[in-house]
Amino acid sequence: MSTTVIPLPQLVEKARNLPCAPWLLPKLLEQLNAQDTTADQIEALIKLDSGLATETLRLANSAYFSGAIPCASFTDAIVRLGFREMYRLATTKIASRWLTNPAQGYGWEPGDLYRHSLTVAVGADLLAKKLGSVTPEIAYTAGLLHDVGKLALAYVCSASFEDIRRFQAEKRCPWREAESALLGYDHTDVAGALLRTWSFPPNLIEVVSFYPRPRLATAEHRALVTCVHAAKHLALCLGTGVGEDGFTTELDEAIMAELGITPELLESLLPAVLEGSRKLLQSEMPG
Amino acid sequence: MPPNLESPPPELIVGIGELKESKNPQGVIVTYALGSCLGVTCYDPVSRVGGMLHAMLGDSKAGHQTAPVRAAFLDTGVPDLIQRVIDLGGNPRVFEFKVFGGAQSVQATDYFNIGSRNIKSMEDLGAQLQLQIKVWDVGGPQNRTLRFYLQDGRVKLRKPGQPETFL
Repeated sequence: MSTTVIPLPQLVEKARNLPCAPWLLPKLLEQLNAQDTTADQIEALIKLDSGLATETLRLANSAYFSGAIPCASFTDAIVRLGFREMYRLATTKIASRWLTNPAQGYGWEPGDLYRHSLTVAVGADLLAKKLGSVTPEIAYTAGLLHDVGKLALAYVCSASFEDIRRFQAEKRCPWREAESALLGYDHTDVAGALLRTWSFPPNLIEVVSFYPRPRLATAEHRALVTCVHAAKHLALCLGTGVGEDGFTTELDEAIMAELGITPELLESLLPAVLEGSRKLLQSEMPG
Repeated sequence: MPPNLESPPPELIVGIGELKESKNPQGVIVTYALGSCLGVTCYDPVSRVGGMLHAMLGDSKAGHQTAPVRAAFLDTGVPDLIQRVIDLGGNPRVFEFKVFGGAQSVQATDYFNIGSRNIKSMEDLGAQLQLQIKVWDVGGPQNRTLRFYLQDGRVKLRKPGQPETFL
C-alpha cells in the first residue's frame, strides 16, 4: 500500500482553496430562516455574489414568475420569488459551482457529483413533503450538500483512491469504511469539518457527517438525516452521476421504517424524482 | 468483427424512461449510468435493426406520483421496444435481447430492492413473451453505461473503475 495520509485539518485547509467555496451560503440560509429578515438584508448578501444576483433577476423575470411589470431591482425580485424560492435558488447556484470543480476519484465523469447531488436534493425535498416532519427546503439543501466531503477527498487525496478501491473490493465493505481504514477518516468526517469551518448550521453538519449512518445523528436532527439517507438510495436507483462507491453506501432499512419511509412510498416517488431532477439539470447544469 | 471505432459513428442517447431505435447499421445507441434501472437491447441480426430501452421500474400499474411514461416501465416499454424494431423492418422470430442493470446496494434486503424486483419482472416478461435473451449482466453494486452497436449487435459495457467489456 502506498497511501500517504494527510492529516484531516491539513486536508480541510487544502479543500478550502478549491474555487467557488460556498462561504456565503450559511449566511444566506441563516437570514432566509430568520423570522424578521427583510428583502433589503437578503439583497445586501446576494449582491456579494454576482452570479447569484444575476440569476435572481433572471428567475424573477422568467415566464414562470413574471408579473405584468418586469422586476428591475433586486428587492422586487426577492419579494416576487419569496424566501422559499430564494432558499432553493441560492443553494443550487452556490453549491453547483463548488460541486462541479474538476476532481479525479470515485469513477466520476465531469459533472457526475453535481448530477447525483441534485437528484438526492430533489428526492429529499419530495420525501420531506410526504413525511411532514422535515422542512422540504432544508431537506433539499441537505441533499445537495451531502457529499461535499467526497469532492474534498478526491481533490486532495486522489493518489490514495487505487488503494481504497482495492481495499473495498477485497473486504467487500462500504467504501466509506475503506476510506477510514486507510486514511484514518472518511468523506463524512471531511464534510463535517469543512461545514464547521464555513459555520454551517448544526442540522446540515449532522447530515453530511451521518447520512450513511443516520442512527448516529442526534434525536433533534435524525429525521432530516434519515430523509437524506433514503433520498440517497432513491438517487442510487436512478443511477444519475453515481460513482463507483455508490452502491456500497450503508443502508439502514430499519430506521427508514421507523420514520414511515416504506418501500412503496420510495418506489412511488421515483418517477417524480426523475422528472424533477431532469428539469433542474436541464436548466441548472453549469458549463 | 469488432466495431469500427476510427471515425465516431452517429450516437443515439437513451435517457431514463426512454427508448430509441435505429436501422443505421453504423449507428450506436447509448445509455449512461444504469443504476437499479434495466437497459434492454433488442436486435435483428439479419436486417441489423435494433433498439434500446432504459426502464426504471417493472410495473406501470403501481401507484406512482406522476403519470406513467410507457418507456419508464418494463411491462409497457418492452412491448413498445419490440414493436418499434418491427416497424423498422425487424423480424421478431430472430430478435435477440440483452439485459443489463438492476444494481443493488450491498446492504439491501427484501425491504428496499428495486434492482432485484426489476430483474424478476424482466425474467417474468421474458418467459411470458418468449424472448430470446442472450445476455444477462445484472445485479451487483455497480452502475453501468452501455454502447449498443447496430453493426453486429454487440454491447460495450462500462462499470466505474473497471475495464470495458464487449457482450
